[in-house]
Amino acid sequence: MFDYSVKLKNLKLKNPVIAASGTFGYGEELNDFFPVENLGALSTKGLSLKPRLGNPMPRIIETPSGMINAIGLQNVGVEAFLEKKLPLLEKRQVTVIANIFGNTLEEYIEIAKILESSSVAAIELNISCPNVKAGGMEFGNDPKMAAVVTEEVRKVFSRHLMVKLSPNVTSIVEIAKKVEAAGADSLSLINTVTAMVINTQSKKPMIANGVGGLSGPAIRPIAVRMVAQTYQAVKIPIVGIGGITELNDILEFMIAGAAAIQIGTSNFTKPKIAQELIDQLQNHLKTEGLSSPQELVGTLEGF
Amino acid sequence: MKASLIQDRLCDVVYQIPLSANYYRLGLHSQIDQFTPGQFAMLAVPQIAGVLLRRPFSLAKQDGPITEILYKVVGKGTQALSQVDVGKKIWMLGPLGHGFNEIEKINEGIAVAGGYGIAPFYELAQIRKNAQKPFTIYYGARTQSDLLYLEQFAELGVTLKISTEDGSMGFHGKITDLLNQDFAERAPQKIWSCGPMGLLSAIKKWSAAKQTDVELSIEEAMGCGTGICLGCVVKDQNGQYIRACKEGPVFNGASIDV
Repeated sequence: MFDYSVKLKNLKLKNPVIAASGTFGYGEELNDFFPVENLGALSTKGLSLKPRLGNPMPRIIETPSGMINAIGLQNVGVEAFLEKKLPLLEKRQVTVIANIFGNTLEEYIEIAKILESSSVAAIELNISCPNVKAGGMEFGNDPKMAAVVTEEVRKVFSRHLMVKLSPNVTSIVEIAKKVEAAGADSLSLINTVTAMVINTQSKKPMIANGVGGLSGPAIRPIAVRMVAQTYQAVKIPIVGIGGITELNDILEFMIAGAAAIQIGTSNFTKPKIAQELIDQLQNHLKTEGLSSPQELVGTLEGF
Repeated sequence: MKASLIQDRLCDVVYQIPLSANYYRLGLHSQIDQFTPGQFAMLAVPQIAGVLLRRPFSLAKQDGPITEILYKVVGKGTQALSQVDVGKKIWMLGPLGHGFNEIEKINEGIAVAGGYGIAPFYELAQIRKNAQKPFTIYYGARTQSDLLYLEQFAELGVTLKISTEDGSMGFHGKITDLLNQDFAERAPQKIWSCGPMGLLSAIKKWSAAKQTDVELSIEEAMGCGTGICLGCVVKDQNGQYIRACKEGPVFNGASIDV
């Protein structure tokens, strides 16, 4: 008997395919293409305490097999999300992961408190944000700060707590271990890779923010490597992210140790991609005679 | 007008006609019913590697199941697009966004187009003709070889007012100077405009001074075309960023800051 569902500790997903934060809005837009409740889960556009305007244009630039974005976390804010966006997702019985970020530790805690009394199934902590109080140092770049924000949010949020790790660090494994010890239920990796493209005529960066986050197939081998290394170092489930465009990419991540995966940039290039991959993965697992996705997880050999 | 559902289809290339100055007319067997001029599609060429994102193009004409797109080769993506032969396939996601309004209703509506911003006015001219309404296009381009669809507009009974920056055809100068000349004493009932930001900005100012209703179709690079990447925003009158692909690409001139 085949069971497609996945258990990330206390979070049950109907399948291992999650829409990545910032690539599926709040679930309204791509509902025209397939029923959003078919996703294993939807990670929302990053939510802050107050609405954010976002960065000036240009915000995106294509790169070889990838793109750089610096949207600047434009979002409606957590209160407007709960009031205006969440009801549709509740009605459709979507498993909602609220991706959150703050400029200070206090903001992270405040948002998590607000979400504790909502229906969201999980929080995904985006710790790739500069801490304004600590002089702009990113929470996710410092193992100690990453642990502190995880621990504090853990205290006020009782359901599933996923922490999204940045690849822009010396050792993602060290941070993963600290975050696990601080009480995270799962880890999602990787966030985008900080990158730049320069216009050689004007000698200026091609996006207004100067630097941005590289995503797409260009970063996939980096992400697969980081998942494989992290899998050897932690016990909590890992959610693999980075340039997934086809079935084989998902298999790579699962073999490397990902219990679930997120589809990001591919949602931009093919709005039905998540649904297609959900179907293809299910067919593949059944054809291979597996009884659940879990049987494939961490089956990497020779590493 | 019947609105078509958005679809994502691998379409046969029915024709690929090179025009002057690296412009092409691309015919796709899209099987969409209809689109509103100003709406667009995101195209992907499956045969090329390394080019990740789709490219947005204005929809120019619908003839039965065939959608025409007018494009210019400007970079890697459009270069690859121009090399797709008839009989090969291209992904087309569309029709997307909001098009121009009141096309059949307005009695004296004029279009102001800059460069290949002319594309949506091909279908718009057809709709005006079907509705038996007169239609004048103020059409500015760099030089004569950048002027497109002139025969088609003649067949559709469009009055063309042309300007070129080098004077190689029509009025020598900017299209806004020609507008000023023709509308020194009065104003058109409505303006539909499409072209580079500089032109749209000038048309917005001109229309405000004339107290004329104006709709602007914004040209932006886009990541997804469906409203999720937030890469194609424009500021509205309240200073908030709104999406060209979803809330636009056609906006009421007064509602956006260009």
